[in-house]
Amino acid sequence: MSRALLIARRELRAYFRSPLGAVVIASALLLDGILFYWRSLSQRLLSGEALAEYFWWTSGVTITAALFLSMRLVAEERQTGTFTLLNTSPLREWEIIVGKYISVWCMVLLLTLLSVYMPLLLLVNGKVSFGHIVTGYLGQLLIGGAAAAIGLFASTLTRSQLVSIVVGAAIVVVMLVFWVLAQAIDPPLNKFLAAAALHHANFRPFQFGILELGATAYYLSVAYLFLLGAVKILEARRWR
Amino acid sequence: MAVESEQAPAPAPKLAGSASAAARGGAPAWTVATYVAGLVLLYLAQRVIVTLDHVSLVLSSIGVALIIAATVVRFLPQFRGQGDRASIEKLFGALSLLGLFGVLVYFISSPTGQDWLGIARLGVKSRERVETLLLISWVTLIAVSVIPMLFAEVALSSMRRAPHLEARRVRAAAASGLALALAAAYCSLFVYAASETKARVDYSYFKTSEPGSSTRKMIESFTEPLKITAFFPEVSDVRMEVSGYLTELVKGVPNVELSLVDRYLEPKLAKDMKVFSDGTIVFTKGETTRTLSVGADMQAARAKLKTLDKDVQEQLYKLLRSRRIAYLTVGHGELNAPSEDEKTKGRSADIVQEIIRTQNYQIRTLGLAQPWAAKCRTTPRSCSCSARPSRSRPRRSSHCSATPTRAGGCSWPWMQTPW
Repeated sequence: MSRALLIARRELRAYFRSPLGAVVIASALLLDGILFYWRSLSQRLLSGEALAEYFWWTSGVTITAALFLSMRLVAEERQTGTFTLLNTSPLREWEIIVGKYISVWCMVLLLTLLSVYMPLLLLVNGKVSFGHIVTGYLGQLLIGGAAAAIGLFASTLTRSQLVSIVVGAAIVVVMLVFWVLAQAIDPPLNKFLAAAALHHANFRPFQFGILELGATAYYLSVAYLFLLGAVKILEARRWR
Repeated sequence: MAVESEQAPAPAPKLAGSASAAARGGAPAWTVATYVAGLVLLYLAQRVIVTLDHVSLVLSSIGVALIIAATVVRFLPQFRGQGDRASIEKLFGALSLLGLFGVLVYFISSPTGQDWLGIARLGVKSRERVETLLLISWVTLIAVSVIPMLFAEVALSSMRRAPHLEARRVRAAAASGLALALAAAYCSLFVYAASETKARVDYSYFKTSEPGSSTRKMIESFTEPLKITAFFPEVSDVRMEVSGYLTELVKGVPNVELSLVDRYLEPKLAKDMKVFSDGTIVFTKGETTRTLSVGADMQAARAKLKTLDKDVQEQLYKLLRSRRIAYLTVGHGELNAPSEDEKTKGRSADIVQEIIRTQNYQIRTLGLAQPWAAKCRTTPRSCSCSARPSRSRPRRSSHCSATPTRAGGCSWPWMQTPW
């Protein structure tokens, strides 16, 4: 695990050295602010509803930011040729993937922490519970973590960062569309698709300040599955 | 023999040729494609064009035939291959059989299969348990067979024309696919089990999704069995909200049975309960039913969801207590019949009347011409009250001074407003 942390530290340093991390976080915060004003403050809503609306919109920003942050993780290494160094170092595939995942998740954490002043405004001036804010942010971190895992998986598939983000976005969109599909098809597959939808049914409890074990387990499972997929792809690359 | 085995690899070109032949041997590349095509056809026949019986049957048959054919090809002597290729073919054969077994389990889970095996004759709960088990089994079996097969085929495809076959690479690819398929199955079960625990903590400021304590007490006081049937589409935002509320409401109450059903999947039940639109909740106690319409569209139902607890409480009141009559006296300047002047000052008993109505009372007025005492004596389980605007004790009028009812009702001779 210490080797994974080493990778994580290296990646975090890379985020802060290059403009990518700062640009993505600044853009996400700008979007969050605009959405907060547009969807929450400029409408006649109760404080709790305004907060729920904020979480709903900002989750989309978190997903997008996580994809942008994770697109470079493996693809860039392959593009610049440094991946051979990683591959020949005494590191196992899962250590590489876990290390890179920790780094991108830390960036998502930083992004969410920097946006916390917006719900705090509602807490000070309105009537919302602190638990609602914490639960909403936990949801943000979970959905951001799942999106980061998808992005990392996509990054292992190709050496182009552009292709990587397109693939990652395609997977996310397909998983978002599951909910729409579930409403149109027959059981039992509709139940499966509804349960597998990345956002709608699973994020809704967090949005309203409800901490649900099922939704939490879902996001952890999605992250685990895509990270496992990324590990398996790296393992397969050793054969080439 | 030893000499033969030592001599066998001697001619180098021949070895390369035989290894190449071994790599080219085995089942052709289209076998996996045929297998997957069979599964896709079966899916389309069973899930997409179910309404067209004959087409569905034909497509299902073709799908199953393709799957069986692709499996049989794996075991034909001419496609067995040699050496490493033979072991890869065995792997593909085993995976194909596993998938075929998954298809068999799927057919067992269908209504026809359930009839044959007597599952349809089991009790409701046992049948549901068996159906869930079969559903999980066929999905897992097919995933566990198809994903490794595809992974192995991708690994093998690049070596089909190669002089040497890297069997370990193909096996590793299949193992990766198997690990992913099993992880997906495990994660699905993990999420399902976590969801089924219904473990949740509500930190929201307005707990609209939770039933109030008075509604809980009311539902606990039911001595007769109460059935709550909510008609919502299988996948709906409103269903999730209502389901959370109702589940919380009936938790730990033995006399209450809750069922959430899709109107289109249970047309007979919907017809029996006279439900003609989605988003309807029916409360049934014996022969009496009460219906509450919430709606299935979130935009339309948002307002109703905010008052869901109050509306449910109202319906439960109506089931719990038989309809009663409340007489409000008029003619003494009571607030329940305010003058225009009082109305403009906002002094009326509208809220009191609304509360009385929600307690399943029918409100009737009792004027000077109708001696209320006589009325109350003759009307069983009735009560009367008069809402007076004054702070001072009202003058006793001839019909207000009468004794309260003797037929089980009660009376409030006057009601003082707080201002």
